[in-house]
Order: sequence, then C-alpha cells, then structure tokens
Amino acid sequence: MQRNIPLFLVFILGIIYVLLTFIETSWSEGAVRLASSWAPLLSMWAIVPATYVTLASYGRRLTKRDRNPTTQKAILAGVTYVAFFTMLISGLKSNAEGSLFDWMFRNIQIPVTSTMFSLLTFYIASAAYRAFRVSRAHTSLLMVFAVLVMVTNTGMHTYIPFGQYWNEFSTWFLMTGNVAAKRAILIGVAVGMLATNIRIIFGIERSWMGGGA
Amino acid sequence: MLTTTIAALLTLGAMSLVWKENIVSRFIEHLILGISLGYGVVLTYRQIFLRLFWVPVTTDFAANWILILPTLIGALWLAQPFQKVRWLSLIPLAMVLGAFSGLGLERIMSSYIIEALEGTVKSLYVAGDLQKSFDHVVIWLGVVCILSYFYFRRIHNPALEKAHEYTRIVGIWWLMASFGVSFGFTVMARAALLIYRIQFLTQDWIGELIKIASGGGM
Amino acid sequence: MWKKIFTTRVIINTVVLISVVLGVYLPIKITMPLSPEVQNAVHLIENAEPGSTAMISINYAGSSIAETEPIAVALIRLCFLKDVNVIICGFFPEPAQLAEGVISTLGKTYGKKPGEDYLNLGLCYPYDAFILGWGRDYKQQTGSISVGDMVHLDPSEYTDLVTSNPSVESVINSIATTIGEDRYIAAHLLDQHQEELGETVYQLLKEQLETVTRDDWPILQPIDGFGDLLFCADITGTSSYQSWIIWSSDYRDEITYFAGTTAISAPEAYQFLQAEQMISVIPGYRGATEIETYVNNQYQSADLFRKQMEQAGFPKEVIAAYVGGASRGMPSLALVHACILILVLIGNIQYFLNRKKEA
Repeated sequence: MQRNIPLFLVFILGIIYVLLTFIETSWSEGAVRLASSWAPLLSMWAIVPATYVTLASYGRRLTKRDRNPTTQKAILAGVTYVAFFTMLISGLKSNAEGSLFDWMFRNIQIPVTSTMFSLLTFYIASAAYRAFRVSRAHTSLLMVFAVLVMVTNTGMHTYIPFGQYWNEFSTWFLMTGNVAAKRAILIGVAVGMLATNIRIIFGIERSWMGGGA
Repeated sequence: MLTTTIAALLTLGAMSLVWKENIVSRFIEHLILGISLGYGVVLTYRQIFLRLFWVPVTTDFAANWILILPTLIGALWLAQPFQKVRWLSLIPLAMVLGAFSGLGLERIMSSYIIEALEGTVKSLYVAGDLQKSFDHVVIWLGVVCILSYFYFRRIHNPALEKAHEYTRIVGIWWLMASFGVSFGFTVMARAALLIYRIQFLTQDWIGELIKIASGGGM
Repeated sequence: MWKKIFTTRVIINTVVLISVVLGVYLPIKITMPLSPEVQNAVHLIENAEPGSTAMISINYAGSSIAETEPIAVALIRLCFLKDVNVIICGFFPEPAQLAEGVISTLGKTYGKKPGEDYLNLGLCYPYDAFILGWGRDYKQQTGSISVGDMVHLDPSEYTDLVTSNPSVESVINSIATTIGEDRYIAAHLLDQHQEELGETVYQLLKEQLETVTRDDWPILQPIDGFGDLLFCADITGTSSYQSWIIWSSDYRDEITYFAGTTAISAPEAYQFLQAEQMISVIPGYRGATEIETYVNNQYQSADLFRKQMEQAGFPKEVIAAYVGGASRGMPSLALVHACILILVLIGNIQYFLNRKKEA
C-alpha cells in the first residue's frame, strides 16, 4: 500500500506533464516552470542522508567498530572527518574568493581531481601496448581509425608524407562516417530513454524505488 | 609559493598511485572524499537552500510562501536511513521523476530522434554538389546498416535476410571504425589532463622554485 | 631485483612521463590551422557587429578543466578583441565558481566593464528552466529563477568608503562575488554585515542594491531572447551541451548555438553539427589550440596578451595558464600520442613474433 503512493504520484505527474508539452498557454508554461523551480527544493535534502551514510561508514572505522580494524584505517577515516568539517565550517562562514573554502577548492580539490583523471593516460598507454592487436579484421579497423585520429588531432600529420590527405580524410570521416555511427547509437539510446520514461510513468520500471520493489 | 607547493605535493601524491597504492595516495583519497562531501553540503546549502528557498521566503513571504511546500515534501528524504519509513523518501523522488519523465518525452523525441532522422534523410542527391550528395548517401547508409545490426537478429524473409547479412557486417565494421575515432579522442582528453598537471609541476612549481633558489626573487 | 622494479608497466609509465616532460621543454612548433568544424564559430565572432552580445555557459569542473578552460579563454578573448559583449553563466555550482574566475580575469585584462561589456549570471539552476525561459520573455520571469535580478557592486567605485572604513572592502568584495546571484542573497549578505559597516554605509549600499534592477544592466537592454544574441555556446566537460539542444528545441530557428566539448564527447557532438542543431564543435585541446593560434596570429600576439595581463596586475601562474593556454601543451600532446603509437607498434611486433614461435 505504502509503495503505491510514490507510484501513483509518478503516474499522475508523468501524464500531466506529457500533456502539458502539447499545450501552449501561459499557464502550461507556468506549470513547466513550477516543476523546474520545485525540483531543486525537492531534491536538495537528499544530500543529508547521503552524507550521513558515508560519514557513518567512516565513523565505524574511526571508532574501530570496523570488521577488521587497524590504526591506519582509523587515522585515514579521521582525515576524511577533519576535511569534511573544515570544508563545512569554513564554507558556511564564507565561500567568497580568498576564503579557506575557496582556497581548498582551488588548491586541493581541483588539482587532485584533475590529477586522478590524468592518471588514466598511463593506463591507456599500458592498454595500448598489451591489448591493441591487429589480430582480426575488426580490431584492425578500430586501430587504423584510432591511429588516423591520433595523428591528425595532434598535428603530427604535418611531419609525415601525404599528411594533408590524412587530415582531409580524418575530417571527412568525422563529419560523415563517425556521424552515422554515433547517430545510430543515439537513436538507439533515445528509443531506450523513451521506453524507460514510459515504463517509469506506468510503474513498470521500479528500480528507482530501491531493493525489493 | 606555499600554496603552489601544497598543490604540487598533493599532485605528486596522487600521481604516486600509478606506481602502487601507498599510504600517501590513500591519505589523499580520504582527504578528497571529505572535501568533496563538505563542498557538496555547503553548495547545496548556499546555492539551493539559501538562495532558492530561505532568502526569497524570508524577504518576500507573500510572493514566495509556496516554496515552503516543496521544501517540506523534500524533507521526507530524511527518512531514507530508517528502514521502516524509507518509503516516505520515495515521495519527493517520485514527484521529480514523474514530472521530468513526462516533460522529457516530447523533447527527447524531437531532439534525439526526429531531428536526427531529419539530418539523416536529407536529400540524397544535391544538384550540382557531388561531394554533398556522396556524404548524405554515406550517412544514410551507415545509419541504416548499424540500426539493422542493432535491431534485427534474423529476418524471416529470404530476400531481406540475405541483404540483412550484408548490412549487419557493414554495420559492425562501421561501428568499429567509429570506436577507433572515439579511442583516439579519449587519448587526447586524458593526455591533455596529464600535460596540464605536468606543466604545473615543472613550470609553475619547480620552475619558480629554481628561480627563487637562484635569487630570481619571488 | 632490477627485473622486479623495472616491470613492463613501470617502463611504459616512465616513457609516457618523460615524453610529456620533454614536450614541455623541447622547442617544437606545431601549428594548427582552423578546422572546418571550428571555423564557423570563429568567423561568426569575427564578422559580428561591435556591441553585439553572446552568451556562453561554462560547465566544466576540475576533471576536465585542462581541455575546456583554454576553449573558454580563447573564445572570450576573441569576443573581447572584436568588441562582442559576453554573458556568462554556469549550470552547476562548481563550474559557476570557475566561470567567475575566467570572466573577471579577462574582463579586467581587456578593461571591460561589468554590466556593460560582460555579465556573469552566476549559477543558473535549474538549467532547463533557464534555457526555456531565455527563449521567450525572460524579462517577465519571476520566482526563483535568477535571470535578471542581479547585483554587481564594483569595489573600485567605493574607494572613498574603503579608505574611511577598512571593513567595507571585504564586505563589498564578498557582495561583488555574489554577482549574478539574486538580489535577495546580496541583501542578505549586507544585512549580516550591518554592524561592521556602520549605519551610513549600510544604508547607502542597501539603497544601491534596491535600485539596481535587471533593466539597469546596459548589456541586457537590447536583448529579449535567443534571437537577439549573436550566439549561445556551451563549454562543457559533460554532456550538458545536449541539454541546450533539447531544451532550446522550441527556438531552433532563432538560436545560433555551438559547443566546446572535451575530446571524449566530441565524436558524439559532430552529429548535432551535421543535423544543423549547432554550427560548430570545438573538440577539446585541439579546438582550443586552433582558436588560440588564430587569435594570436590575427588579432593579438601571445606576448601582447601577456603584457596586458601583467599590466592588469595578475600573478605569474595565472598569466602562464591564460597566455600559454592549450598551445603550450601541444608539443607534449604530440609526443605522448607518438609514444602511444610506438607502444602499439611494439606490442604488435611482439605479438606476431610470439605467434610465429608458437606456430
């Protein structure tokens, strides 16, 4: 019974908003705007349970109630806590330029996240060496186009014979062959999205309700 | 310079992960987790709670009192960690999901399917422009072949089945070529980030340190 | 023992690292002419009438800043050099914070006036409502949508106040950084600092806040919707560029739109170019380098740009990032790619040799 309430809401709102897209009046536009301005207020509280669950799991390590507790784990969990509360307290005070919050954002968060992603270069290089084989026709084709794009993207084609033709072909393929493939994929994805939206509205798709639905 | 040095040491620490997971990289992971969590909470508080709810309601109650309603319903999220009342947290989610599933339908249809098809079935022959005609044919052919590969396993019509066999093969080849393109671009994306960090380390940090050491001034 | 340390993985990683570092120092020059997909956007700005206005949404964060920020810098530079006004916005909190840095730095460098030559709308969330709203009658919008009701106080206009009461400066600065946020929030900030400021100053600033309305922004006056904008662009590390396409679909005939994407999303973006849903794709680092090189060659050399930034009083690391942009990384990029190509080659040679042996 309790689970029927959210399902009912999804159904009613879904149908109303599908219909609203086909009505062009000031009040239908108002209703669309209402949905947009309510959405952040409806969703903002989700950050509270999310933060609570994460901190609670680290709290268990901190207090050594973990399955196999070690001092190192406890110290590291402590680091997370200190970082969280420093950010929280300084941020609530001020987030203007020059504040501690802004400083930590610019000098810790940005450099470290971009470094983390940059490390993938090393893994790509390893993968290129180990896995990229011209063993079958399919993979060879993949490799030929990868090489083509890599050469022309970096201006290396200016140093090789017939480089100009490489570049022209690469540009042409990006605008035609590549477009065809990506478009077919997008159409497939869009049909999937439509189906999912309809399934959600009619309560067939219930994975958003969490386990056991 | 101190700031740059801290950022540089953290960069180096994060990079050490490539060598092997170690205590420094683990420290940085935990640090970033805490900082990101804090960042998320603060920004949600400032940019959504304060800005879209608290300040409008407290400064102009008559015009904005209605905002209290979604905020109260949204607060049902707080029931999430408690097993018995967890279903309550599904109510705000259901409202957002319902409205946007409905709103999205027509727009996904028009932007992702109809306009994409319009782009595909452009006139296959453009008078006086052979190149364009050829391009249009190529795109049309590619989309048809790949879609036939996606959507049909087997066609129970002898004539069509033969054709499908060929279009399927062309579709697979076509996809592989486009994955090659994607791989090439991915390498560029990742390499760009690495270069950005290395430039920071070599020029902005070590370069400046050397200048200071050689008396070049701060 | 050496074999244990110098595993294949370590050797590969070292080679990659060396190639990047070498690229930073080797004097290799790689020129990138404008490619067809980038050209349209550049020519559009070049041929624009001075005083026209463009809107750029900035949606990148730390994980993609390396490729996308140079695009933003190069585009805004070109706009400013051609006297095109720029309206900036961000759809998510982190990008909105980064956007402020880019626009204020370039604005100051080129001596542009906020509110007149550029404007930062700040965080425009929810973005779907923002895009839908801008298409039509955005000036009539009310409620929590932040378009319009913005406040910007320029600290330099308050020098007298600052000298008489030092705490004024920090307050004005913190209010100035709320530029683009609702008038409400600036007023809230001001209230919080009422005591610090003293009654006279407080009243003066409050009055200032209340009298500023969106119609006071000269930059917004001639604009009623997408049709009045030279172009809209999204520079993004995610697929937010598609949100523009989806939510502006009602105004397809009015809007001129293009996207600066990361290299990862670029291949997918080309199809929207072909379907004429946008006019240009600026693919990551390469796209940034192309525009940057073009601007440097045609309008203002890198040296001049550096000098102008120095005169504006920016610290060295900021100048290095803005002036060097993407083109300073191009040699490294080429070397890393070459390195990966060689690794593929070696891997394949080994594979064939092993296969022969096995046979």
